[in-house]
Amino acid sequence: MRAPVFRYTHLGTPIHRLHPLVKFLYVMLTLVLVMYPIRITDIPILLIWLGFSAVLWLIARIELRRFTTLMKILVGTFIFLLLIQGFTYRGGHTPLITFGHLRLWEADLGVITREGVVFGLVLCVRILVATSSLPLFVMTTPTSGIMTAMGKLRIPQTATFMFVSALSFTTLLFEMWGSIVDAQKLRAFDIDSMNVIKRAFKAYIPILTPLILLLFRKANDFQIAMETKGFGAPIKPTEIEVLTARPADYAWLAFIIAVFVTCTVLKFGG
Amino acid sequence: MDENKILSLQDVIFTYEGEVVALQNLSLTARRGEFVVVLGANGAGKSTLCYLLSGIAPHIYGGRRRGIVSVAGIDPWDEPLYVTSQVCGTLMQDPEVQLFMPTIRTELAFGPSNLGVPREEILRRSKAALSLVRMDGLEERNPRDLSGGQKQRAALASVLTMQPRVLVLDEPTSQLDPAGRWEVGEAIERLKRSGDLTIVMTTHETEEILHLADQVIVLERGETALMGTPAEVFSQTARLEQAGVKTPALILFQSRVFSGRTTGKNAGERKITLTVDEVAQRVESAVQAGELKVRQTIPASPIPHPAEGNSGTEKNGHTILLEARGISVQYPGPPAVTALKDVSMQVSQGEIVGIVGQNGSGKSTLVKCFVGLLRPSKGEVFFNGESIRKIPVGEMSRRVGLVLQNPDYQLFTASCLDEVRFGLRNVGVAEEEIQPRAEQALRRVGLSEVADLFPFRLSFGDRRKLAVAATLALEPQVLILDEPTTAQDHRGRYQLADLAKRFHDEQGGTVLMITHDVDLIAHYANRLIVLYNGQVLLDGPTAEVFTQVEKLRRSFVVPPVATQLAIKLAPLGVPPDIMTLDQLYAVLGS
Amino acid sequence: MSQQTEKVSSRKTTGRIGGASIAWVTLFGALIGVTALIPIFPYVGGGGYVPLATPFAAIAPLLLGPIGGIVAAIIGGVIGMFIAPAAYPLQLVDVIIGAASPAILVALMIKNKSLWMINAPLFIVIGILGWLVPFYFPGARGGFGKVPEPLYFILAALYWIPSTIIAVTPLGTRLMPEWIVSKKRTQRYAGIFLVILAAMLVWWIPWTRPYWYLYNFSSELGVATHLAYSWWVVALSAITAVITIPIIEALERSGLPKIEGSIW
Repeated sequence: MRAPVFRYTHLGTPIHRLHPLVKFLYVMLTLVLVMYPIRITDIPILLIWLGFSAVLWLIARIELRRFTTLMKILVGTFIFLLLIQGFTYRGGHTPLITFGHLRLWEADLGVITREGVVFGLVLCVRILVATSSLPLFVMTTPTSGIMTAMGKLRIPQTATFMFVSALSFTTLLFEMWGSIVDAQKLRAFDIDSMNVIKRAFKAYIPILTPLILLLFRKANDFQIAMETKGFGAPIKPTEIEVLTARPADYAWLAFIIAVFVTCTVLKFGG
Repeated sequence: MDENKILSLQDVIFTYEGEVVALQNLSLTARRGEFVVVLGANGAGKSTLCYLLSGIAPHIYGGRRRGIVSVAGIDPWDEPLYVTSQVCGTLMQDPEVQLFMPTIRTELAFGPSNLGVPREEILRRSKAALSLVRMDGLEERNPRDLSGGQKQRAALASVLTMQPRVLVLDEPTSQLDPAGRWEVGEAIERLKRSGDLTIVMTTHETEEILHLADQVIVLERGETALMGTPAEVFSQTARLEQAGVKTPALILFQSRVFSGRTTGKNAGERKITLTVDEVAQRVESAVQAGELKVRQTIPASPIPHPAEGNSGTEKNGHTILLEARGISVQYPGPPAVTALKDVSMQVSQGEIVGIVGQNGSGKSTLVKCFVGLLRPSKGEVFFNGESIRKIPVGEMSRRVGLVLQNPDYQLFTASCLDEVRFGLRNVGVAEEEIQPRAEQALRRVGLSEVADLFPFRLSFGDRRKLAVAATLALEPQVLILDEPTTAQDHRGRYQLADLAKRFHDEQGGTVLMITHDVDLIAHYANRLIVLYNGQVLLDGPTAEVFTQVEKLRRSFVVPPVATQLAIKLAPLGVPPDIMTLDQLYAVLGS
Repeated sequence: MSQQTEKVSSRKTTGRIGGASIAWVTLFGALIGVTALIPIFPYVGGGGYVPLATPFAAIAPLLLGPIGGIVAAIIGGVIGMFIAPAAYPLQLVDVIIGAASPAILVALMIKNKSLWMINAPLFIVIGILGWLVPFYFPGARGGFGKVPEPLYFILAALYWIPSTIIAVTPLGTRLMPEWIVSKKRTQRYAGIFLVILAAMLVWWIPWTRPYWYLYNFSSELGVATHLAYSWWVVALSAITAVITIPIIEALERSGLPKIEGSIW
């Protein structure tokens, strides 16, 4: 199992200091934007938002290799989109590569069209826009900030606690997973050398069974640790984190909304 | 009623759901500021006592109780846990599950904020608690990024912010390395000296707490075997041994050499403050007074010698089985960590090698290279003269068997027998051979009786034995044990090492043991390698390495008490390369 | 207070969700989150992989009881979103379709005795919506082509009608909930497989449609994907069942405290 590549990095950039809720709004607006119906002509809108996101990545001083990793993760999807739209885009009429002719309803499956490939590219940009916002949030917002933001959003304390503690236990789980895989390798059971089918049907049992047993055994100690620290007391908990909005947060908020409104006007206004 | 009496148990009987009687007729009283140490073998009832005091029983582990329990004026049975937690704090063994917040700051604030303590007060308490465990300035660190000792100290600080009047510590150092144990021990000592807190601590490490204890209670199968001041309890070495409790080596030594005059102090005294220097001085006086004589020859060593080699690459007439040639390993970061730096060593057939060093010194990395789990970035590992670079780990497991510290990482089948069969099947052993080989492996480790039992239900010690059986069934030539004494009580601590010794004696096997336990090394290993910062600091015959006190100190390794005494007594003619008390007894005769 | 008074108490921890303790739910949630990084099975439409988190979310109600399982799946989904953000382009939508819904649908199937009145209308609504989105809604206005009918309706119906039938017949209302806790191993395997299959068939519809919309699927691809996934969902359910049984058996033997509402 690969450890997460988009982890929080402690830096003092303006994006790191930005109020988590402002960043969260940026993430949500990105989702809204990518869900707008799409045409080839919408590419400028996507590029504006992608450019905006790139600026945020730059200001946040996120290393280039993280972006490369993102591209690597998406490469399969990009190839899929280019091919599938190349072959089946209903507005495609200029043949780029012709393998033959196989008509199926509206599409000629033997021909890759230029318009199809271009539309595939537009969709790739759409996916890139969609996937670039959340990593930015994750890499620039500490868990304590997320926790406070959840409090501000009136998410119940138990839910926040469960999320935060579960997130904290992921590191332990990565270690446990690695140790179990090693322990089984030592008995000539090597998951890494198995093919997809064998792995899916056979490999996970010797890894997941001890992992879950171990996890549930640890769960009792975790329950003890939290309950002996007053968790579940019928008392209103004290808010420790004080999250105040600074003028810069309002400025960023206005800027993000302005870019979003511009994109929306370009999309529906023109 | 004594106003200072803060903790009281009277005739307590506790039975878990499922009718397991864990404590019987237990009575105990502790006053404000007292330090009570609870000793006993695994299963003696130590943790149950902690659970009863902190309310974990019955709120998390249900059961039946008779008798009276009072902790700072409340009965934890009748109060919800959040009420008990305000008078009684609990620290458990495993720091990993006790830390669950994103930063130390939020971790420390978690408890009091649940109780609605005002923010400023929480911050004040957090600051004080962090300072007490010497972790000032680490507020913003993620607990997951800390060392084992730091994690446990952070967990302790997070309990202290609840401002309990009683602190229950359930084997708080058992999962730590020597440096971590020292750090946590030091924090507990500061706590003890800082005031009114009553501390109840369970442990197997008698040496570490002796100087702090006001009261010692030894449990045996849920009942009180011994109780009293440290001097009173530790004077009864035979009874301690019977209860499966380790008598501190210095006390044991004195009781044997000075025929029962244990401490040289009054038995009624509350504390025992013994040091190697004091005992050495006592021996010196006894020798000068003619009460003791020194024989200047070391008695026959209990340590095995390498078997004779007969083929292949040889070193001093012995076949070299494992060899590391200039291996380096770097873990990718950020930040990148160099775990091994240009390490070279040879292990001959029939050797029993101890490997010691702090966590992070490279011990585990080294043995992972030996079994092929890790491929060094530089250098090469050879088995029987052949590079293992191209050999898959599964293939290597038939040559070098590694038993990891935690058996629960591998046990998953429905029975012990299946567990052993799993590996045999993976390496392609013929079906008709699998059953007898699996049965034989279980017999060898003494688990034939439980062959059909679900491994998860076995005791920790037996689960470790099962892991050894699963490894030995593959018939490796080299057996590597990672921390064979971890989480074992005094009685069970050498079970795995004994199995390895039998593998050595009966099958001519080669054994490597990674450990922090110097007594284990002294008893079993004929060679000792000390790793420090990814490099070999010392490598040689065990007795010789143990005399390098200064170099060992750099790696937080303290030689066995017998060696320390022998070095101090060297001017009297005691050979300094003594490793066990038996050897020392034989040298010092009356 | 009399020393002879015996006090008896079973566990009464405050932190419980359904029958499971908060600690168990949280840790299992963390596990679901972490397994978002483990690709287990390729998916035909989209050029990616289904992570192990999806089958894990599906079995959460079997291990933790319906409520605990659903909560663990939601937590796991959110954790997955944070540790593998690139795999969650639709963020909270992905949490719902990739983690919460498999758990909800399995939870509805394991206690189907009284839930068929919810299941049947729910499955029909999901089925009809899945048929309409995206080729009829937003349809041509959103740039989507025309699908051949009645072929497309029939293909989509293959994913929800069998599950609806199971949900309202004794197979779903009585037999499957009995089989999953049966002492007979074969019966239990069959029960768990059928529960997961019935749930995952319906789940497949809401799981795919947001991405069909995002990727602007052509009608040809919509039809082809329906065909391709007919074996895929069965295979994924089989994998899930194969993983589940040993875990359930191990938990039963473990001596760990049983969770109310779980099947072990």
